[in-house]
Amino acid sequence: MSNFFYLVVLMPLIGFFINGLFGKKINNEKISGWLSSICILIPFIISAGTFFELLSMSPESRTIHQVYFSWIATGDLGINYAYLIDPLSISLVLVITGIGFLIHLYSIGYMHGDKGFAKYFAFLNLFVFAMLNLVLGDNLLLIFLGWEGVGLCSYLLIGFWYEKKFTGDAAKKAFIVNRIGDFGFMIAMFLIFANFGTLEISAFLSQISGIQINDGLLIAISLLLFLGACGKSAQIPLYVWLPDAMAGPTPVSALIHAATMVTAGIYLLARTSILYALAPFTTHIVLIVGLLTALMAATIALKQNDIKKILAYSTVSQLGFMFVAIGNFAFTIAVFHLITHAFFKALLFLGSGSVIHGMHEEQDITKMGGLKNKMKITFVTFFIGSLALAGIPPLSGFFSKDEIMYLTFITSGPAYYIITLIAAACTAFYIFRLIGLTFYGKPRYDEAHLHPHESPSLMTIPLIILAVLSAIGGFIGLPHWLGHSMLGDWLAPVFSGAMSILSTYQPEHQTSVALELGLVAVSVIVATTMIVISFKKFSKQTTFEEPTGFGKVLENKYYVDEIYDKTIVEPIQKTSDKILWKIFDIKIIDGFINGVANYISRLSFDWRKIQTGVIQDYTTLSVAGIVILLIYLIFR
Amino acid sequence: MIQLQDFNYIIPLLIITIGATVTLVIDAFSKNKNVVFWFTIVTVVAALSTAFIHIDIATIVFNNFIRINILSTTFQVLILTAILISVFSSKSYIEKEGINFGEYYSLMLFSVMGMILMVIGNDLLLVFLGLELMSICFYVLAGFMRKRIKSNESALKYFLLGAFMTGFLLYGIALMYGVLGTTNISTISSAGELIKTPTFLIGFGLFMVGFFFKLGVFPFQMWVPDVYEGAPTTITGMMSTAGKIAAVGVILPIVVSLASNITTFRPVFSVAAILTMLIGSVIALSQSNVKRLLAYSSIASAGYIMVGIASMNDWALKGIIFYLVAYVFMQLGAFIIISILEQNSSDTNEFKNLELNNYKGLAKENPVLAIFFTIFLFSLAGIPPFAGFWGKYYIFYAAIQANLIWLSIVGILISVVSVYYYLKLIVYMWFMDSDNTEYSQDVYRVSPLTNFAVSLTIVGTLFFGLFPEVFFNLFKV
Repeated sequence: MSNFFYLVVLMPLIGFFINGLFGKKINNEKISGWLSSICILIPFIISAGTFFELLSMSPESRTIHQVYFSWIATGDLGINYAYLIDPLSISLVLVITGIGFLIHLYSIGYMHGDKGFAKYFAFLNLFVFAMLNLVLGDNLLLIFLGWEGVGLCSYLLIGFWYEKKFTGDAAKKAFIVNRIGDFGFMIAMFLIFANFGTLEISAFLSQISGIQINDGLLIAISLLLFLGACGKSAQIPLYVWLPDAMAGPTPVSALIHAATMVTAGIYLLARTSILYALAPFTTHIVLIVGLLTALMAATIALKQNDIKKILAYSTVSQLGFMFVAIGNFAFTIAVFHLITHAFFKALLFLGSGSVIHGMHEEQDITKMGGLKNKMKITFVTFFIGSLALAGIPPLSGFFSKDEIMYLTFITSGPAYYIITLIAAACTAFYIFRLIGLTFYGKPRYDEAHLHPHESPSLMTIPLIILAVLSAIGGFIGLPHWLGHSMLGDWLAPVFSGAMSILSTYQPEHQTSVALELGLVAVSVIVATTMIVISFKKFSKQTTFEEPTGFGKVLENKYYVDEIYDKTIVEPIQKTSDKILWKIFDIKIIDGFINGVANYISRLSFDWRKIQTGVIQDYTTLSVAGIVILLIYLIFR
Repeated sequence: MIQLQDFNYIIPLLIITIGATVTLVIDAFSKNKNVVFWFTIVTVVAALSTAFIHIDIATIVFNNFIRINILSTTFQVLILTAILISVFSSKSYIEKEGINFGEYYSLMLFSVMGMILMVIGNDLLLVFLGLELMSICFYVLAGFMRKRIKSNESALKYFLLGAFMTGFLLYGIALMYGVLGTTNISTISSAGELIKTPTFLIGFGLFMVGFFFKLGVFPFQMWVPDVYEGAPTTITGMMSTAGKIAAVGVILPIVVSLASNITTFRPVFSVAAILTMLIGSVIALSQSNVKRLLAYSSIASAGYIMVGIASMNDWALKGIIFYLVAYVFMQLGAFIIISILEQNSSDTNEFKNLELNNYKGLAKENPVLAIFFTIFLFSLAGIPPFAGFWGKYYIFYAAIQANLIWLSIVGILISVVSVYYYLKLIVYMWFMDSDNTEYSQDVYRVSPLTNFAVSLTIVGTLFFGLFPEVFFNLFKV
């Protein structure tokens, strides 16, 4: 199947062009929607075939390098348009196209009747195209192309309903905050090219393998790449765009802002694992940032009332968990959590979309309640997803999250472990607060006018499939006390380089099954307790008061947006308005530029007079030119 | 000895020759103009597809008269592509302007014959023959709107100046023959020290002058605005692309192969490059007619090509060829759009709808045309990700490799000036309201064939902008 692999990337692009160029002319939701869904389904089938092809090879040789053409070749810079198909990238391609296909299907139902239907699917296909380039590119420039491409699509889709001001603002915020991260990525690329003369990842990684640990250059590059990852994957201090990004259509939140794009940062760090093994200084920063993000976002989620905001902060928090895994050099586990999280978070977002759809665009959970019986499929699937998120065995989230917490304990120590435990406790609490308020209790909406209903089957079928995946997805990475981690073996060759570097300076950690089982027991007990407390409290709650004290701080998200406004946005605006614009731009730059421009246009009016229209003048000038040439040639 | 298999190598030329003759005959016997049109299309497509046959072959046939190698093949393909797009866009234009005569197509084909002879000719006499064949067809085509005074003026000026400059060209060939006793280009290229003799250099200089005239290099650029403005717009597009490619196709290989012996000319070429870029870009600023504006812009492009010629290295070869690739698409695309918007006037003396003011508010009335035109203008200005960017990039890169850093800095500065007039047109299209009510709505009804031609140019501009190296993967220059 790998012979046809180019189709994996080409099909979404074709779908984008058809819907983008002719969508309005087709003017048929069925054709537009199904066409772009099929443009994702075929890539999924092909990549599944390629997956089995890789599986049939011996573990060490599971790499297919496909060079399509030389893209840019100038001077020392030679860049191929080439894809690297290995266990890591194919796993993500399967997630992107698989979940992507389900979300496309769901969108056909969700976006029904929207006047930008075809445009929506065009953007969605373009997003998948860009995302596939991001994970498949064999060089940093191609990855960067995908990186910027997904950023653009994210911007376009967040601001999809651009008539409302806050969606436009949210889109701009996402774009601008991401630019900060992209800046880091670009500087890292420049550093790599300047020092190693290549942008191809494997060449770069093999060149640095010999360099000593914590070399200054490597720390700089790895920190800058991590800055890029912080932007895309919404980590402190750049996470602020993701909660606002919920202004876009809900399936977009599920696909882009939960399952795929926001994990690009994790992918980037996993792809360059050798770099992070060589720069433990940076990796420790990754660990701390991940921990703080996980904790902070989980606590904010406790007090939010918008159903999508809760899930957004939950995503930020779970992404934090993935960075914690990388911070502990557990690249495999990070990818494992990435995959299970993609399953259950896509499910939760789509479920919330179904709720919003049924409640006619109501997003405030304090105005819901009692939806359990009115939306049975949505409720059951959402419940499964929540259990998976809370980490209840044997659902998928349990395996990946507990593995992260256990590794934190043995690699970084009990203090770090406690933080993850608190974050996990908050997770269980806020998600069952959401369940209690949304699905249980008495309806708090106007029953006379609002009749919640179950969504059409195009929307519920993806929910059911994702619920099954969320339930059993964890079995691909069983912990060693229970069995055998298939994912671990599968990804082992990708990370073997990093692991062998690590073994040179990091002592082997003492692992003990008893300790691990004990920690599992602790976290399961904590999670269950939290679920019970939260559920008891909120399933019966009917009145809502303004929170006070710390609760108010949480409801206002630690006032981070306000602080950013005061300390960064406003000073920048003031400086640019008062100094840069009024003095530097208008007086100095404009003065200079206008002067030059005026001079040249005066020149132009003078010079045009040589064009007399008289042919004798033309010949005279030509002969003069020839005479000067001859004089030069004779007397040189 | 001419052998029968030699004819294998000139199949595209044969097809064009036969096609050109047959179109004349068809036109004499058939009333239906569509037959001539489609026959022309078939001829050009056949020639274009057969041009690829000898893509990997380098040989000299017909008693050293014809040179087939990757360069000549590349130039042939470029010329035929430009012609194909021009023919597609011509039909509705000449119908609209009331000049739908069969000779139009056969003259086009005869001019292509000349161009192909120029780029495959391995003898100065053959090259000269091709050049004259091309030029004579151009003179007639420029004056094809015989009822219009501007068109007549265009043809007459082109013819008079062309004939005048041909004298210098021939004299140059004669002097070179006088020194070396041959007109064979391969022999000249390997003549060594003899090339450095003053007589030869003077001959070579006059020879180059003849081609600089065709390219529109300062101080031989005076005809360009007048001729480009007066000629039928589709013909202007063809002259400014295919015609230039043919001229470059002659001088570029010669200059590169003689490079080490003609370093004397480097200052000459550099100064000509700067003055050409400067004159083209600066005068374009004060133009109010779109065709004249693009004429000056094409003078500026000749200046960029001259930067490459002055570099005289292999990078220049690559750079100029890529610039021409981009040029075929963006320049033709721009002229096709002008030809779409141009209006037929009952008043026989004037072209209508060609002033900058007529382009006000185009974006509102026909956004697709406005977007396409904007892309072509951005590409001409050399803004990524369009093909024109890479053209300029490779050329300036060649100049830097040839240690002409000052030349590339000046060139880049001048191309900043050129951005101004391209943007001016874009501003007119997008940010100004139309003050023009005398339009009939069917101006914007574009025929499918013209649509196809525009699509080809837009695809080319975008594709080679995003994937510049693909071209050289196929044509390993």
